[in-house]
Amino acid sequence: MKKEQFEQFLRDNEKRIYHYLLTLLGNDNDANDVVQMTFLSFYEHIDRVESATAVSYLYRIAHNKSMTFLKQKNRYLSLDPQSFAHLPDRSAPDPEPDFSALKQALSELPVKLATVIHLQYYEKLSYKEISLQLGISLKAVESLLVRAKKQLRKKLLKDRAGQGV
Amino acid sequence: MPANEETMNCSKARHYLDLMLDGELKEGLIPMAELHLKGCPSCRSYYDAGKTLNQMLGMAPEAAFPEWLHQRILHQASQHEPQRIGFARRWKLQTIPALLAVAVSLYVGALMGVKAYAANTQTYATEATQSTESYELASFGESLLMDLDSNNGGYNE
Repeated sequence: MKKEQFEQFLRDNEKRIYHYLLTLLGNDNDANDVVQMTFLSFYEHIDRVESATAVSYLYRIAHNKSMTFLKQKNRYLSLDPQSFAHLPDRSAPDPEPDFSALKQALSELPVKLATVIHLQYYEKLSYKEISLQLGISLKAVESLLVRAKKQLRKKLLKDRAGQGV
Repeated sequence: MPANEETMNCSKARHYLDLMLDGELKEGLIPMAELHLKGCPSCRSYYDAGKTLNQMLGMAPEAAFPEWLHQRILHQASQHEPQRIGFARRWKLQTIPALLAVAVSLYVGALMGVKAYAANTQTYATEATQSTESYELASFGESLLMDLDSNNGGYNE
């Protein structure tokens, strides 16, 4: 790909990568940081990227960057008092209670499970397409999706029970 | 088929229901799964919960990508550009001295080699001359000895 194509490529793919990172990381600030790192890393290697594989390459970068980010974040989370600033305000009314609970539940999923959910619901990929995208078997996709949905159901039910109390 | 429907347990049925919810269940198996649903309230609630989750995931609002973030990425990319050129230039500058150093070392090495060869040849020539002289001396000695032998060592019989 040429450097001149970057702006258009960014415009075409920024939303999907942002959505993916929001699903993995669970908050806007982290997603904002990692989306910048992702696109800059892509730009650094743009000369070596083929147009046909550019999107999957971008996803791979986003995945790797978010893994590194989460590792570093987890290392400092327990020591960083700033992290308490991100606790949700329970007293404030929630404009979209269902979706915020879903968003929270999604962000608590392991990266692999969050990835298959993103690919199925955001990218609207079939099991076969997901298996090709991730390089895993159809059975593995099926199993990951079942596990992901089971965890989501559990978390959402727990949330509802918590709200009911 | 009816035999299968009767023997299908809830675990297998839920596997089919998961696939059915995602539109991945083979058409031939859909009636079996539906029949199980009719007779199993537990699997019916499992299916309904799955359907609700599917709807929620499908309807979840897409987060808008902030425009400022788009601009910031472009700005950072443009800032990144001079670094790329600088790096390329630095690489080129490093290549030229490296090639020069290799050429100079080859030249100096060749010169030293030629000088050493010349010096060696000279030494060899000197040594060869010296060895001819000694050979001549030796042969002179030999002939003397031979003369002496033929003359019975110079002794009188």
